[in-house]
Amino acid sequence: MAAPARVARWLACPRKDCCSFSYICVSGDDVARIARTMALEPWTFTVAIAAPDDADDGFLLAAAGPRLRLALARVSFEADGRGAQCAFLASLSDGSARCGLGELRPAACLTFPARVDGGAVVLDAAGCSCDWSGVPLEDPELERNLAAMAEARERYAGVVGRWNAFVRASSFAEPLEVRDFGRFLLDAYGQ
Amino acid sequence: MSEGCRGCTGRCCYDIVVHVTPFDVWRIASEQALSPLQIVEPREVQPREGPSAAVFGARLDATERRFRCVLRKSPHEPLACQFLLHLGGGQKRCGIYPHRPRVCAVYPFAIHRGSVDLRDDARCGAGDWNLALVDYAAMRRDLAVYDAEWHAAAGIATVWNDAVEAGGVTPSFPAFVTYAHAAAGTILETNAADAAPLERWAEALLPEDVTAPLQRWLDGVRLASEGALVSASAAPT
Repeated sequence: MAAPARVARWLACPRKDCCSFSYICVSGDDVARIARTMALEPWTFTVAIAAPDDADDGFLLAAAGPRLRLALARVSFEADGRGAQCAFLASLSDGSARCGLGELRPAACLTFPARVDGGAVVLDAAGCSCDWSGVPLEDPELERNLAAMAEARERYAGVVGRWNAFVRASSFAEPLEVRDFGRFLLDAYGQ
Repeated sequence: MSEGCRGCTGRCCYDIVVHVTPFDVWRIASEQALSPLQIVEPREVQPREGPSAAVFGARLDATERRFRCVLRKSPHEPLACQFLLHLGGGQKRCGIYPHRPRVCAVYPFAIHRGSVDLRDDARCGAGDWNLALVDYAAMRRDLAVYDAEWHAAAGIATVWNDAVEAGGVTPSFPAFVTYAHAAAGTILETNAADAAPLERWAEALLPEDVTAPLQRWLDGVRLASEGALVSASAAPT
């Protein structure tokens, strides 16, 4: 079956600016799916970035510490770190780029450039160089992915809440690390 | 993902030149919305070079030289496959894993002395593969499908080379790739509704007699290739 117009436009885009202009935040569901399928431990493909204090996906590493959230790692092939791009973006010899995750890509990528705002599906293509005018946002696949994304986010908020409660109740000699949270996710989302 | 590949750092994706068939190119192009020329470049080969007898390549100029399609390399690392992903901790992963070329899917295995064995040129580390744990039936089947597609690729190249010899086409790499892509697409799409004939042929390869199903498959390949050649010749230049 042919991909919806929205997906086909993204797939054919040679630059894939949307994959690299900022960090792509992921849920535990995204992390577990990629980790299990690609046999990659979460800390090899994610990084922790600052999260707002009220973020429901913001995890703690210390009871009084700042909240963090997981995003896909970025790589740069320049010595000074310029031109960082999503670690899963394959750079082709002709200068174009393609996603190495395919159907495994995070929910935020699967639904790009749509998001739900006040119950309505809206276009939000900030950072993207493609022309999205005229691309329909009404397709069953997008509806399913947006619904699955909301469900995954709710589940992830519960998992993060359990982790944060554990952090607040713990007192380890060595500080907790992002890797500890990654293992907790693999456990929480285990078969 | 194969057990032996899980801790791999992608050595096989670096210094090996990956020879691919038009069927491999078709699958990658379809899934990644790429043109064939974004995927492959030509490499001159010698008769009998490669994993099977069906290795004879395509003529791309007025000489007798033969060429095959190989995956392009990365713009960042000249030795690395352009589809290789660089992740944390030195981990590497294939960026087209679900539709990677068949030669990659069966690597590092080959049929040796009648059974599945590790290739002599395997880049894997000692202990990465435990032959006692290999799924022999699945691997033998994958190797048979791989071999079948190379036979078919040789058939596509033969139709092209015959046309070059007869002066029916002007040989060039872009022209050959366009033709081979059309032929592979026709073959795969025609057969898509017919429950993967390649796999049926692979099953038939397991018993002694493989001649009849192979010949039927190659007859179909020749018909599709000749059709693609006519279309290519008729297309405006």
